[in-house]
Amino acid sequence: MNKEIPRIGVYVCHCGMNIAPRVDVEQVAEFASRLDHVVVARDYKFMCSNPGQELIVEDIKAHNLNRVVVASCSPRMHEATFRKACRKAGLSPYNFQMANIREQASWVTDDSRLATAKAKDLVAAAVGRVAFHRPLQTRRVEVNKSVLVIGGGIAGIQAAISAADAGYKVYLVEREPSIGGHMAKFDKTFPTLDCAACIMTPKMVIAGQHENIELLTYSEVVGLEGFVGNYKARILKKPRYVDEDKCTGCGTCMEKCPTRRVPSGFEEGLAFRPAIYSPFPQAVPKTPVIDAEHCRLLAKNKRCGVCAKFCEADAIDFDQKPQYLDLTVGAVIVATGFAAFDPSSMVQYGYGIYPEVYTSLQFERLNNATGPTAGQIVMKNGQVPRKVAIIHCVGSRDRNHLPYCSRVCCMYSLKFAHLVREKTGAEVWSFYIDMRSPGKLYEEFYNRVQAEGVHAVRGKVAMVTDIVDDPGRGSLTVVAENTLTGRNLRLPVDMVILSVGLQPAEGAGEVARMAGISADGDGWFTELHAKLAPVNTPTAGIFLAGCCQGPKDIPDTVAQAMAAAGQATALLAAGTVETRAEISSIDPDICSGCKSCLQVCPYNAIYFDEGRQVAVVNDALCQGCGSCSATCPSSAAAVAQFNDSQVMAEIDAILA
Amino acid sequence: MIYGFFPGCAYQAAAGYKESVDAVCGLLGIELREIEDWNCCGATAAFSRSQKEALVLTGRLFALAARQGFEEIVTVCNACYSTLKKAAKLLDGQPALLEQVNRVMAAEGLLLEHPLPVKHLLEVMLRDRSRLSWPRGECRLPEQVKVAAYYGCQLTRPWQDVPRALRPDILESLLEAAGIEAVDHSARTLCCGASHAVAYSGRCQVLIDRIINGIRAKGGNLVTTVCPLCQFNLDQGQQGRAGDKVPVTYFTQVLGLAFGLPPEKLGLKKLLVPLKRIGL
Amino acid sequence: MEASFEPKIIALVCNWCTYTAADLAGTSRLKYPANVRLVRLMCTGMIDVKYVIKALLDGADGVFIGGCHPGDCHYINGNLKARKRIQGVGSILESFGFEPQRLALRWIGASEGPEFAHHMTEFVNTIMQLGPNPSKARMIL
Repeated sequence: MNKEIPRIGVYVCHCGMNIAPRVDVEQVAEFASRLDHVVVARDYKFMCSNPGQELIVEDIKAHNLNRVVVASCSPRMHEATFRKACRKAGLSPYNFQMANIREQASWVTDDSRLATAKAKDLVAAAVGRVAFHRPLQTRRVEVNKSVLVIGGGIAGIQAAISAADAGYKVYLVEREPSIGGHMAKFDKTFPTLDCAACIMTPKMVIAGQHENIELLTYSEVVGLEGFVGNYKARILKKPRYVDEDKCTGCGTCMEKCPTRRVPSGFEEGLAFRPAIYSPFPQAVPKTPVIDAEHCRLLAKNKRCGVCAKFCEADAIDFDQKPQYLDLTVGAVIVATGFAAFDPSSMVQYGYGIYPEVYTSLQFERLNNATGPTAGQIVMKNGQVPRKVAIIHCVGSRDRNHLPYCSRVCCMYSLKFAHLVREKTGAEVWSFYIDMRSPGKLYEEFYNRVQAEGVHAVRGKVAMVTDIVDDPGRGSLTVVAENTLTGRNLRLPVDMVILSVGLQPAEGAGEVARMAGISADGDGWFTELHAKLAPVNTPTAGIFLAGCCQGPKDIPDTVAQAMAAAGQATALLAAGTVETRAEISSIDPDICSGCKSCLQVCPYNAIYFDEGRQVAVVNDALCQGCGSCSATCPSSAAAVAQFNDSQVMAEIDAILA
Repeated sequence: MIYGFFPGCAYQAAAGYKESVDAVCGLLGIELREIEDWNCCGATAAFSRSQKEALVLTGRLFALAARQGFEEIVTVCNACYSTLKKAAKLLDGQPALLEQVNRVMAAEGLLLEHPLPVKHLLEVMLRDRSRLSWPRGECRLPEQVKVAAYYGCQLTRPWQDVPRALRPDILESLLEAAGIEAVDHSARTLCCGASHAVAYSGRCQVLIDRIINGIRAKGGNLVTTVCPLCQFNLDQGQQGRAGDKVPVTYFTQVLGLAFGLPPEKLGLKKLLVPLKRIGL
Repeated sequence: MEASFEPKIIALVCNWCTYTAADLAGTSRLKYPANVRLVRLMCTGMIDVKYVIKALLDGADGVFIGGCHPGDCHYINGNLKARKRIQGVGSILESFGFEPQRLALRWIGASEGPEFAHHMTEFVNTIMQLGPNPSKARMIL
């Protein structure tokens, strides 16, 4: 128990019209004033405003308060604000407690009487527990001045460049043989129709040559532990079977490789590649990899080695083994991106059944100057299509698949429509649910494409079929309802493009688990605050960039990547971080040495002191989860701010 | 094996359906035991008129089947299948409806605790194949016969309980088990318009032609169906067509032929587009 | 029983998921019964069984525990430890004279505001049907 007698100030916020009048704030304040140890209780329009905070600061001084309770919104919103005010008045920020009477009372309760009663209980609970609060000590620890970026798409590349430009060492990890991600596959970008390669390739080269960036391609993060400022990452470097230091990137090996017909992932299965390959001409690094699954020598144990014979640099090394690299970094930027929705499961659209049904990424390649058709928009038979249907929202906004809007599909579909019109003169029919074009110059682009004569039909396509009423007019029929005219439509076409939605990248869940960040129901990583902390995660020192947090277009991705780099470098620049205060400790006078806590600690943060025969918490590793405190049979382990007396006092006060 | 069987109204009169079901089931060791005192399921019409009445019609079937000790109901008609499934879903999810139905059925001394699972004969043949006396011999269907499986619209809609419901392949799997390689085509679940065959025969004709053309375009020369309404509609709907008619059979007729059962036992003579067109 | 029984329910919830879901229910203005009092903890894994027993002995009509879905725990697996512990305490509630339904453990993710409101409504309904905590009557005696 505390030696000092608690002197508590209670502040009930109106939050304008958000808490009052649903909760009778005056009554709550009056109620609070009669609670034990409460010296002063007030209600005020906006506690988070400057005058509101000043009210607390002045009261602490005038009334010699040593505890403060603010009844307002969620602590996730303003706990930091009020803690700061306490600190300003010379009070430990940990002698503070919030009662959440907005999200938990006024906003969710219709009946004013019940809302007020609930608010009173929540205030009583906060007052009850704050009496048991005590100042907590934190330490400052050094921050390692390097950043790990996971994922080498445009988000990861930009984040890496920004952080490297600020003078910090960056490790950029990419699982594919080259950085570039999805954007490297695109030809044009909406709404300006810039050539993607023209704006992307220079960035890739900068990332590849930057003195502060260490590229780790064909590599994966397989372990991540530690805490803000001091993360330990384990990187798996998959064997390339090509020595990066020796390889000159001449490409002879790829020309000579006798295995020619491996479907190219980069070309979305529209073209083939050899077993030794570099995914695309502008790849960074240029060093190819040998795909061990298809290599005659590695997979089939045949006498081949043609690549090695022709390599003048002697760079081929069939004996390479997986390597592990252990890095220490101060901050981590997660930029794992997205995966395109696989439309095979929507059999009604015939992807994988009818050869002239393409996904959007396939169309990007079809239209790309470096793609399988050298940028000619042609069908598999080499002919130019006369009529093309573009189906929006494939997988998206569909409760059977992806319930959300993938945000970029309307715009890239409009881009496709424009490109088809421009390159082939074909008739284009775009089937949409709602046309979504919010963004700078996006609506203008939509208007432009409409003016180019693209038919936009509002209606979700029921099916694509090869049953055609007139074989002369196209090999496929698109069946849909035009919901604006109420008419059914059977449209003969030559080619169908499915504008597939975005979903989290494969393996994203594994990254989330390692990084200790959470994902929403759809698998997108959750930011700390949807509006005010969009690149932060609940785990300090881990930041988000790009589509891993949710579908977004290139401008938003780049902006977020720069923001994530800004946050990460701000952390590094500060040099030290304060350790968390809400961690566990074990009272050596009570500990019986049973070691139960050692078994349950998920962070191996508890060790056993053989000399004293007691368990001891390593406060650098403890995250404050409380597994030990709930397990300890003698109540020796306790998490600061959540110890038994505090939680019990809270329950007591509610039930009093 | 014994199955609780709901024949439905159209079955008996359907062109060779009963004959071929009897013949094939006899061979496979399937005993379809009729639900005693069964009534019409009401099909789409009853639900359109009054949900309560429709649920009493179907609820009574479930109650009768349960009283006979059946654990599931087997049908041979898509309309029965989807009507019973619809009723089962409603009665399962809403105890108030079940209570209403039971109140009506009390007059007859019937009580329904919960609806039974509903299966098409096609599904149970495939599911229980290993426990049936499935013939081991070669497929007796001549090679020139190119079978196209046609499911109709009601087997897979709206619940999509059948795998790959929008392009199902369970009938193809069953045919394959009898040694028949079915034609890959896209008309499998297109609606044939059967319900409107009388009132809007002109509009129906377009749908029928589309299905037959779609099958012919993929090389099919024999359609096989799992529903009396589909069979009749596709069969009679070709009467106006010129020379390119395609016989429309029941799946049990094709299975029977593949198993080498005598054609006269399969009711093949009742088909409007005769099988001799394809040399049978 | 009183004419209008307004149960009082203690909800011990994880800061990372259920507490956040409650915030989301709030920002979405979802309405649910006002009988629930949230006690914010960092993880369901820190819930000592004595909190549950104490709450019920002190007259709470129900105790609700809300944690992260399995696999989503912010501290790796605290929720699973909680599940084990809560199953244990649930099995002895009857010996204390409490119906086991007075204790509920549910997984409610941070994005599941509607689910939070739904679970609150459902649990309050359960408690309404059970009636007041029997220990209240004993206390009066």
